[in-house]
Amino acid sequence: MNLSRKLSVDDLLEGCKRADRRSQELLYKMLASRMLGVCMRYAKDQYEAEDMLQVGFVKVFQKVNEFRGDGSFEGWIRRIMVNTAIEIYRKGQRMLNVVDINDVFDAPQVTFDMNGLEVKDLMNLIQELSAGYKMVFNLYAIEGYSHKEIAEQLGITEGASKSQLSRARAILRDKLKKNESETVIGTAVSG
Amino acid sequence: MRPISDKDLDKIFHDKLYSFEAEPSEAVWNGISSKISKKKSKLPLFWLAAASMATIVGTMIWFSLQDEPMKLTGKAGNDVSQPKQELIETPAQEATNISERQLAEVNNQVVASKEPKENSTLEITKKTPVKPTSPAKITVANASPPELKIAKEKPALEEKNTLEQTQTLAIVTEPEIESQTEPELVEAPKKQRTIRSVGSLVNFVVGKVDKRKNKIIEFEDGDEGTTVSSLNLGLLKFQAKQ
Repeated sequence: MNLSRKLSVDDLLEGCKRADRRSQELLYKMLASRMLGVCMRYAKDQYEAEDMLQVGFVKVFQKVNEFRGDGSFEGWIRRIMVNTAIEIYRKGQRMLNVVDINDVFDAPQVTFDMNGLEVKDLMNLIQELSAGYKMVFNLYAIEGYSHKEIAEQLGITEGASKSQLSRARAILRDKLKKNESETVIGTAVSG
Repeated sequence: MRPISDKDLDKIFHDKLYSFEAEPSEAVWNGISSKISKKKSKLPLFWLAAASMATIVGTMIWFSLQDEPMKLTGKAGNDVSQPKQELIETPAQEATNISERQLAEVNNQVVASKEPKENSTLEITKKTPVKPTSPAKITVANASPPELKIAKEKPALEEKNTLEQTQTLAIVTEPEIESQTEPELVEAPKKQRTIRSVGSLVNFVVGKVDKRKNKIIEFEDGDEGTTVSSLNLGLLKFQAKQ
């Protein structure tokens, strides 16, 4: 990881446009964990998040020639991940299990934040939200979309976006309060 | 926990989760890798197959729209032209030489006895002494079915004396057959060449299958080898300047 960090994401853009396998792999290695972090907020668990990540990266490599250089390459990839999550949500269909479940169980889960546990708690809270609340809260509070954009992306009205956001906030507040009173670590780990 | 504002709540989640990272399992990259490599090799093959299918189907539709049914077996017209081809190449046969001499004799008589309106018989009398080309005509007459001879026989008999029946038969039938085949000779002197190259072989096969005036493809043997002299793909036509 440290080795590949020396190379910037933008250095790999040209190689990816040529569909150079090594550049593609380096780009993936550089961004996979960050992008999985994005996907996990939209998924209900890590397996679903990894499926999303896989679909998203395949799209990145297929569409890389459409990237015109407005904004950063990483920002563009991040948007593709979010759009993939939106697409999956809108289709309302469960993903085919493209990732072998045995591989997923064996893989160690590493988080990079110092406050690992707290972050994991928050992540669990979001993942537990129902699909619609999760989408709206993620897009508004974390991605920074406006209600208008959310309404367009999800095919709902702005009013529906606003009401879903406030209900999502209410649920999160409620759960935070419970978490604080419990202060039991074990609840966060049992996924 | 004291009540927090909506903004603060959003901020907590944003700060903690926006840059959240988690290591994916190995299987994810393997899946991506196999998908993007499949896409790469699949696409050109797919288009190649689609393009060739379209070409085949298009050609089949085009030929099925033609009024004339396709026949692989030759027609009578081709049979007449074929022996001629052979004869140009082969030298005069001895057997025909004999009848030729007889013909020459009889012809003289015919010309003498008949009105000079029949130009074709005159031609023969002039040509026969020259010899080399004439055997062709005679064998053509011989090759033609016997019914034809008999049919032509009757007017001949009416015109001539019965004395030299058998000989005059051959003579009188001959010019008529010649006049029949003559237009074809004029029309296709180039096309009926001997098969020397792959191009002319293709011409021959195409000629059998494609009865149109402009064939689907035609080759010409030039100084620089065989070249395509004309194309006819229905909407798209090409004709090299003659």
